Amino acid sequence: MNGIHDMGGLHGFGEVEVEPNEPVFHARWEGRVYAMTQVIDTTGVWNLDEHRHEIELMSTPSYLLDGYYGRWLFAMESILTRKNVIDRAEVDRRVAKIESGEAPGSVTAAINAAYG
Amino acid sequence: MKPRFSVGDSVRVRNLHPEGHTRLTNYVRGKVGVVSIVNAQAWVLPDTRAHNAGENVQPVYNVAFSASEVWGPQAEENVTVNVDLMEDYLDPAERA
Amino acid sequence: MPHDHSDDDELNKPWQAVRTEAIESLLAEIGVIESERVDAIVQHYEENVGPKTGARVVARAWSDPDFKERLLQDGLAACAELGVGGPETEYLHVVENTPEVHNVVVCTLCSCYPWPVLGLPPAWYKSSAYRTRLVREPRKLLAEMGLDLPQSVRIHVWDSISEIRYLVLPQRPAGSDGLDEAALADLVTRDSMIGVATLPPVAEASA
Repeated sequence: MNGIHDMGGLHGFGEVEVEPNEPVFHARWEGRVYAMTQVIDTTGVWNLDEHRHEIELMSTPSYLLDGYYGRWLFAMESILTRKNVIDRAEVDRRVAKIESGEAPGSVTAAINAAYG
Repeated sequence: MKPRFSVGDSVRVRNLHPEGHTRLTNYVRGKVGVVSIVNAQAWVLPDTRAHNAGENVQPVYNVAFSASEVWGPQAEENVTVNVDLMEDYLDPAERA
Repeated sequence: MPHDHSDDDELNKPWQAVRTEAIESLLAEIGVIESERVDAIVQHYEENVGPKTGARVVARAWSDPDFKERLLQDGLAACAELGVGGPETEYLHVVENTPEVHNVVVCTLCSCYPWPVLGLPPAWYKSSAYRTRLVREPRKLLAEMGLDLPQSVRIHVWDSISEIRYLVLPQRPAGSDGLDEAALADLVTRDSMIGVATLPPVAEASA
């Protein structure tokens, strides 16, 4: 499909910014998304090309703003819900639970406790 | 796989605009390049596997394009763009 | 630490952290993933995989002409001799820099990168600026990134959009003749194996 992902040659994206001493993952969730995707890759729930195509189906603003692992997060949730592995409403409920600190052992709750 | 093209062959990239998945990048569509590497192993066609419509295995070619073929008068000098393309993305071309 | 990355807010939206955690907990409950396995993969990529692996391959190629020949023939098979391998690289083409030809790698369609030899790509490699510009104006972009190539050097930009991955074999630095393989590996940078840098001459050890 002709989409923003096919960006070779486009103008207007400015300079390449290099971050010195960059960590492998910039936040814990990036590593989780990367590794979960690796695991699911081996289950047959999706194939590599399906996963890439799912990313291409993101809205253009989200594609550009969500970051590399944000795209992977989108593709993961999108395919898993489409294939009824998980239910989007259930994800929303779990999100609400974590945000309210109800989910036991929640990483977010632990971070909030540690950093206020 | 028996490859359709050999190293040194001129090929023209098909001008395809599928609505589904493809790895046929826009900026080389319709352009003429020269096959620089033949990867004759059985490579899955992403365009169909992405939609669970079959693997359609085929060779992958690295095709060398002069920058001027791709970018016209705005191209930098002394630059080659090497792009990996599935056999289904290519047609034979007359040598320029 | 999460609070150390205030300049990366775009990549650290809290909603993404929460959503990831929600999905992970649901997937763990239904047995699709085990969090311990996820932990192990994260740790593997944070600690074990990285450009030091590629540097080892390059140093061997500089030291052993037969290995170099095998590496240029079939990159992954030669890497396997050194115990190097990993996921999502089915085939590896190693492209050699010479005084006349400079190679540089990009993936304009996503951000394909030779994970087994270089680890995960830096953010700039995945940036829209790099992906859009390298294929169109490599000489200008490389100069902006600190690599001024003479006009006489031909630039090959490898857009790695198939399942084949590319690794640049940089030119061996001047003044490195007496060094052993381990010392050579220490000279090799990630950026030189992507092709956005070359390696400086080795300064003579001062007495």
